[in-house]
Amino acid sequence: MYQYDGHDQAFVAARAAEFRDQVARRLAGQLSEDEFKPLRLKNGLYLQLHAYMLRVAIPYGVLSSGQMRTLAHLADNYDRGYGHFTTRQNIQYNWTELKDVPDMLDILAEAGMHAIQTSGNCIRNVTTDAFAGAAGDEEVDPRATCELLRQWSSLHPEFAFLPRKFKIAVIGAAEDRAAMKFHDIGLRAKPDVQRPRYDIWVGGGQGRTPRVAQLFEADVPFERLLPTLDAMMRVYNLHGRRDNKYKARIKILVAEMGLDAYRDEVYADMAERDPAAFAVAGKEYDRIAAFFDRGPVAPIDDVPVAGEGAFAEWLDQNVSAHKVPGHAVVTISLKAKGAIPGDATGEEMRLVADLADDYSAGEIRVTHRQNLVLPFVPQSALATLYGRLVEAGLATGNVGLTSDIISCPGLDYCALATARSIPIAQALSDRLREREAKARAAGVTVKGPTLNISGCINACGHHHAANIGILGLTKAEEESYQITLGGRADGGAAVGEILGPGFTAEEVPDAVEKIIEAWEANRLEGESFTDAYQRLGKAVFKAAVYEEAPRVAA
Amino acid sequence: MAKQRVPKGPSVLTANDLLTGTIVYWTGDDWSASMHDALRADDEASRAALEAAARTEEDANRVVGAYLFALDPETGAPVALRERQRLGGPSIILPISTPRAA
Repeated sequence: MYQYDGHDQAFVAARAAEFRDQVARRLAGQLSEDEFKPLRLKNGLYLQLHAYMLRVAIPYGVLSSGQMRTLAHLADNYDRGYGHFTTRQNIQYNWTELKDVPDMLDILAEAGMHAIQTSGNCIRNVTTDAFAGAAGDEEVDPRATCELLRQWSSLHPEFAFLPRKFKIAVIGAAEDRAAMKFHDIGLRAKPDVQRPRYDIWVGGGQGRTPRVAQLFEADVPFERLLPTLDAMMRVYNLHGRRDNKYKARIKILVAEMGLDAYRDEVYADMAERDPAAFAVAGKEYDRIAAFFDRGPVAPIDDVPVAGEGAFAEWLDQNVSAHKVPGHAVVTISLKAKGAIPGDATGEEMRLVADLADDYSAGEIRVTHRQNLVLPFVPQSALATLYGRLVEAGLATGNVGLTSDIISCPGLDYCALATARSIPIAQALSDRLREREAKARAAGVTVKGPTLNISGCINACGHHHAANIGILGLTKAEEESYQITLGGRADGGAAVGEILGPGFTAEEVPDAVEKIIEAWEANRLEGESFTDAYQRLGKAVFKAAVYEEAPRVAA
Repeated sequence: MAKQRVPKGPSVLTANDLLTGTIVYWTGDDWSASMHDALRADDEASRAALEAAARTEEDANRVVGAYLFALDPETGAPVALRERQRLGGPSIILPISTPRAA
C-alpha cells in the first residue's frame, strides 16, 4: 500500500498542529462558534445530537494493520470503545470531546492518517472498490488513481469553498463495487499502454434529488485526466448554485445546463489553460503506482476449500475470487444478527488487525457496505481464519444477502436525522437472518435483494440505491418509514421508486418480508430482485404489502 | 447560533456543552445534564428571558447551539421527536456491551 513520505507526514502533522491552535483559541473565547464551525468541519469534527463526532478519513478505504490498531486505540481511549465504519469507507467516533480532538489528530498523524476534508464543501475522501488490487475481475488497480486524486484534491486552494460537498469514486473492474454512478464524478479506469485511460461520469448523487451519473467522456487518456477533472471542478465552482444548498450539487448544475452545454464549457475552460501544468502527474502516478505494483502476495498453488454448515455458508458468501492464484478475498461481515451495521469495538478492530498480519499481508479494507475486507488471504489459511472469526463473533456468513444491511446512524446519533435507522436495521436483521438460515437449511442460496436504510433524505444510508430502500421521516412528530423498490448501485445503477404510503417502525419488518415473499413467489428461475421488479412492475409488490390493510397516506 | 423558531407554549432552553458536546438544559443559573432541572418558561416574558440567557451563555463560550424547544402543556414532555430522542439518548444498546450473535 501507499506509504507516506516526509512531505506527506509533515503535511498531516502541520494540519494537526494548526487545529490544536484553533481549538485552543476557541476554548479561550478568541473564536466564536460561527468562526470555529467551518474550521472544525474541515477537520471532520461535527456536533451531533449527543456529542461531538469525529469522522476520520480512510483514504479509498485502505488500512494497514497498524492503522487499524490506531483506530482501536482511539475507540478505547477517546470514545466509548467502538467506532462506526461508514458508507464512504471512513470511520466515525460518536463520543469525542472537543478538548481531546487535537490529541486524536496527533495520534492519527503519527499513523499516517487524518480527518481532513471529511466534511465541508470540498472534495471529500475518494472512494473505490474495496477489492482493489485483489479482485479476480480487476482490469486496473484503481488505488494509484485514488491516491493521485487525494494528493491533487487535499487543500486544493481553488476548490476549498465549492458550492457544496463533492464526492469522487474510482473503479477498475467490470463489476461496480463502489456505487460509482452515484458520485458527483465517477471514474472507471481501463487498461492502456503505459498508464490507465478513464471513462468519466458526472452528476450522480443521492440525497433529496437522486441522480445516476451520465457519461461525460469515454476513454480519456491519462494525460488528460487531471486537466479534465480540474476544468470540470472549475465550471462547477463557477456556475454551481450557492443560493440554495439543496440545489448546489453538480448533479443539479448538469441537469439544469444539460450535459452537452456543461461539457462544452469544460472543454472551453481546458482550451484556455496550459496542460503542462499537470505534466508532473505522470511521474507522480508512476511513483504512487510502484507502491501498489509490488503486490504483497505472489502466486501459489490453488487449494480447493470446502466446508459444511456455517463454514460453507461463509465460504459461499464472504469469500471472493482473487486475481493472484492461490489466494482469496475475505469479507468480514459487521452485520451479525441484530448487530448495528458498521459498528466495531476496539477489541474487534485489534483482532482484525492481528488477522491481517497473520493472513492478509497486513492490509485491511473498509467497504462502502460497511464491512471489512482482508484482501490477500491464502486459500490454505481460510479454515484457520474462519475459526478465529468464529471465536470473535465475526464469522457471520451473510455478505451479499439481504441481512447485509447498510444503515446510517440515524436519529440515535445524527443531528440531521428525521428518524432512527439502527433499530430498524436490527429488527430486520433478526428477521432476515432467521429466513436466511431456513433457506440455507432447505438447500436454497439466494443473493440479495440489497437492503439499505437512511434516517433522513440526505441518504447517507444509500436507500435510493437499494433493491429495497427504507427512508425514515418525521410525520406529526412520529417516525414514519417510506419504502422504495428497484434501486441498484451496480453497473446498472438505478434510483428506487416509492412503493406507497409509509409504515411505523413496527410494521417495517413485515412489509419487507412480504416484498421478499412476493419476489420469491413470482420470480423466474434465477431472476434477480431488480430484474423481477422491472418485469413485474410495482403493482405486484404493492398488492403484497398493502392489500391486507389499506393505510392512511403518511 | 442555532436558528430555531421560539416556541409559543411552555418551553425550556437546551444546548450542547462546548467542551464535551454533552446535551445540557438551562436551570436558570447554570446548565444541567438532566431535563428535570430545567427552568420551564410558561409565558412570553420568561421565554424571552431564556432567549437572552441563550445568547449570553453562547457568548460566554460555555455552550453551543442554544435554543428553546416546546413542551407538551399537560405532560411536560418534549413535543418534537428530535427532542425526545435527545432526551432519551441513543435508544440502542451500545456495541461495547453487545456480544455478537451468528
